[in-house]
Amino acid sequence: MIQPSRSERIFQAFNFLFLGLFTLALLLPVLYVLRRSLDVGAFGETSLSLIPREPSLFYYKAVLQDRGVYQPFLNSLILTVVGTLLSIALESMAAYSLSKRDLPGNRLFIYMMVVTMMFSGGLVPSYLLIKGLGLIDKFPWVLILPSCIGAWNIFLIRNYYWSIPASLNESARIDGAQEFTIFSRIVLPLSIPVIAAIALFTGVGYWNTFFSAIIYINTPSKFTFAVKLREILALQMEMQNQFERLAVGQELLLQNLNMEGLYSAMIVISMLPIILVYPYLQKHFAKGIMVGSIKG
Amino acid sequence: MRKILALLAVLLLLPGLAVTAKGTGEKTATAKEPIEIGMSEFQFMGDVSDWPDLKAEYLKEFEKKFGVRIKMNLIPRNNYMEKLYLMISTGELTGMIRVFGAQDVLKCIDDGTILPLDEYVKDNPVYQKEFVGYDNTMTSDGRTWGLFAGYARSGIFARMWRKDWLDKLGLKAPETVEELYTAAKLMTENDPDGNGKKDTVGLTSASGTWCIGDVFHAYDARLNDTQSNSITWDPVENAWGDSMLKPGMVDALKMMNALYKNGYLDNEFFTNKGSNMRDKIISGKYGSTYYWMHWGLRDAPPMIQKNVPTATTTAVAALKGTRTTLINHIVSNGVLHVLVKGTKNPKEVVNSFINLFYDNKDAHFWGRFGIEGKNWKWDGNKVVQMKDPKTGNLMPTSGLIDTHPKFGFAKYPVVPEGSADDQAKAIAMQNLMDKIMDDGLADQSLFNVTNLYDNPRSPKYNAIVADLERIFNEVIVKATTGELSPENAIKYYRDNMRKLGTAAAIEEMNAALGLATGRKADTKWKNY
Amino acid sequence: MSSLRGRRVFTQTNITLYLMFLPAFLFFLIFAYLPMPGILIAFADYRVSGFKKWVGLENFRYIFQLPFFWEAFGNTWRFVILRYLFTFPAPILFALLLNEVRLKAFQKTVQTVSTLPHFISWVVIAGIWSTILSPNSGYVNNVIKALGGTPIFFFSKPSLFPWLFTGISVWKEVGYSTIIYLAALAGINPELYESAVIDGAGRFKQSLYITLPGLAQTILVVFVLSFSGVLNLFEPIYVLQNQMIISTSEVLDTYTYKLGIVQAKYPLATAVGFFKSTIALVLVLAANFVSRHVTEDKQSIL
Repeated sequence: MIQPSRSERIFQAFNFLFLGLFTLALLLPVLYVLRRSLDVGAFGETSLSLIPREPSLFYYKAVLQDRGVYQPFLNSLILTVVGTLLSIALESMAAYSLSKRDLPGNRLFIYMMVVTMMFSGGLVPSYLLIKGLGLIDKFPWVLILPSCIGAWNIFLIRNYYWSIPASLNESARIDGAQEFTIFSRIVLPLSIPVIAAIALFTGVGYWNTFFSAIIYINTPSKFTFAVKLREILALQMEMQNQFERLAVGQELLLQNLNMEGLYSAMIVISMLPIILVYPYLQKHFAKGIMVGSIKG
Repeated sequence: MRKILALLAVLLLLPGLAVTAKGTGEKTATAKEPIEIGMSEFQFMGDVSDWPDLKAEYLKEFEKKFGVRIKMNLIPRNNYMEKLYLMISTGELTGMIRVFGAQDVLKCIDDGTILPLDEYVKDNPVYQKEFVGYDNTMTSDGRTWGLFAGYARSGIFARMWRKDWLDKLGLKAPETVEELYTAAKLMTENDPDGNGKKDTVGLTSASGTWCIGDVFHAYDARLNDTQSNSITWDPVENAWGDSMLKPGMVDALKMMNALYKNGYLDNEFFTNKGSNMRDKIISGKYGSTYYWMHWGLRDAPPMIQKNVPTATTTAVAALKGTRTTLINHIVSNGVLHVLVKGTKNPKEVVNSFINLFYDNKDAHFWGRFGIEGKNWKWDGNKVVQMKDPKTGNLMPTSGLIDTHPKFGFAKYPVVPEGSADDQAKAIAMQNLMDKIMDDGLADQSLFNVTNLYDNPRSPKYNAIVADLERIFNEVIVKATTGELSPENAIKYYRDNMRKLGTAAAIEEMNAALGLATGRKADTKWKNY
Repeated sequence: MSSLRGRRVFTQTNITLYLMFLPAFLFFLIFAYLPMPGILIAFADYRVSGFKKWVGLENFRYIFQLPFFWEAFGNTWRFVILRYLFTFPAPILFALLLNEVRLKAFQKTVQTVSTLPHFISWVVIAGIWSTILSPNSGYVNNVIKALGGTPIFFFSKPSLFPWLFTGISVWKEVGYSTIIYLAALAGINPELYESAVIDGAGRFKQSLYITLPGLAQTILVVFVLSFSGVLNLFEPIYVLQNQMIISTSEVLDTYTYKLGIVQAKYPLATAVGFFKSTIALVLVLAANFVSRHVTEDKQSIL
């Protein structure tokens, strides 16, 4: 075994220290939010203490028992799972097709996609289209179909396909395999890292679906978790300063404006899916890294 | 080959089914269709995703009891106008819908999306009594376009003070701006909470002038209805004008500078959002702010007491200074309902709306609070707002309409559910707030800003208001921090207003007043 | 005729490939191109009550003469430049550093934790950071005071804001943005490392000659694609800006939002969008053109 040189050991130590401190810096706000979610005694908090003054699971209980909260949570869950599967399937296929540069029409398709990344018709025409297709208020499809394919994702997957040695495809073709088989049996399995990454991004995107839900959904039981989060947020953080200024004397203003604990609990809960899913996906990223570290 | 075709077929079939699937719950035709009123509100039984069962039950019960079907359109509160405009412009929304204020109505008129009401309601006695009689309609070029939904009594701004600190310092609640300065100074320097540390500050504010506007008003340099700029209608001069040009503004800016540089005013008052300011007051370390009276008197004390058990608050309606009458404003009218073009049976719809909510005692409270027996109930001639048995909080309200002190039904007091003691306390608090407002109106330190005088009716103004407010805030920042002397700050302001063409906008506003009221506005204000 | 320069177009392979692209093709056609004519509103006087008339470039002229439009435009570019100097390279560096970590458990923990700030919304982040940097009671100023210095009111200094914002952006996004680079790293052929080790190359040389080139293609793709939204910047700025620092913190999107353009005036909103999109398109194509000279096979990224 080759011994790491002294400079390498120093580097390792610094790296460890740096990443450790950095992680701590990243972790602190998360811990702060966690604390707020567990603290029923925090009124007028202007400090960033990490210790709850009155620890309690009150907000979590409130969240879990409130149908106004767990219904959107379930909605977002369904939306994310179905949407991500559909997106990945369609995007990986499209990327494969576009990775064949000599396919007639390839350049046309590419530029067609690029333009859509920057130009869009606007809210009103899109709304009219969705209305014309009869999709208004149809959960989950109205939140999936209009955005199920992302040009950005296709480009990234396609780029990854190029890093797969052409020799593998060639030998399969010589053996008489169909194009789709090559795709599903050879290319796709070798692309697991990028597919996992894109699945993660797509999943997070669906999970955060907010604006489409606001515009296209009308039934209370069909809204997404992100919508719910924002509403409590707006009440607490008053992003819409305008609203409070203009809505003079509304009885809603007479309600309690202190829901930060509830909001914090909801943030923590919304982070749970990724904390659970990410380690599972990480092992798909780890191959190259792991090999490198063993050899070192 | 076959595999891919099969896969494609499946992947395309699913969405295809989605698109062509029929909607659920299609209504079956009934023998006599009840009147359907389309509505939309900022908050209906909480936010859009809250209480779905209660929402559905309410609509069902309402139809059963009153024979009118309300088609409620759920629009999330913080994207309200955006989605509203979208739905109106694509024909998705009809009926009596709620908008924020006169500006929105003007836009709707301009876009041609709402109907004038005169024809439909002029013969309705309820309309004549409740709306025309109390000046609760919004008119433009001679036609009636909007019905004001009402306003919650005592939804005014007042300056709240920590009473326990005032007592400890031997002060009475400041009534003049000089007394305010003294109180702020002592609260910062003389350790009013007695903990031996110099860790308290007298005044705080949010978004700059929003929560300290009363200082400006006292110096006769009034700010507008949301304290966000200095273009305002002045009842004394009976005209729109720019207070930045008044001599009192120099004094106001000097005062701001004095408060700031000595640390008597929270130096984060420009970076504070409303929530930051509220948190600071609740933390117990800050002594005063100019904010919603009901928050300062009723909602904040229990929260402050969690940090400082002996804390109490008091409120003053208006500070006097160079100006001693008509100092602070009460924006009277609140939000509006308008009738969307394309509504079926518009005459029936608007008259049912008016008769139901403003002439029918039960329907009125159904409209305000919700299901009788679940959200509220009668108790003699009191209306009791009920609490959620699970959490002990008040049940959410349906909020279809608000109240107006002059509406017939304001005579029924509203109290929260609870012991006789709690109810008595709630009534006493409401009476206190009413008294502050009534006293202010009586001694003329407060004045009503009604329809026509709250928002400028001027397209020129709308086009420049964002830039105008930017410059206004720049001036306030620079004068308060001392970067510019008040005189230079005002000069800077005037130069920029000339560039923006604000003079023309103000003339337009005054002209609009003249046309609407038939009297010429008294334009004593100077040009830039 | 289904031949093209002597080749048959509709071979079985090609048909399969076309079919694989079909759903995407239909998607873009229906959801992107069908509403696309709406962009013409930018050249018209269009009210909700209907189309009034064509006005050519009038809408654009109006926008360009707004008092603070060009200041907002310039501010936006300042953030863009800082973004490419710091926020863009940071995840790459982070991926490389992570790659070097020996202890798998530590590596996985750092990876997971680093993604968490991404999931906290900007409004909360703004609240947290303004508390940390508060001139009166924030941690940073407490430290400064303890060391004998005078407190700095961070969020009141216009010149400081772009740096502050960039720093906070890096802190929030680096962990999440690095995921795509980690995926790329996973795809580097392990045999390359093995032969490098045999040749006696240390970790540093390995990073330089194997890891970085392996990442290059991915970096390039992300770089080119990033220009598609180059001038889009709203929520993070909106929650962090205040009137004391408005001269450097007003960007295109926040300015047009305040003008009420977004809510009330469709033609103007569309015109601003069109303006931004055109600049984005030019930059994407330019970046793509440059990429051709940088890639190994002289093919462009797109």
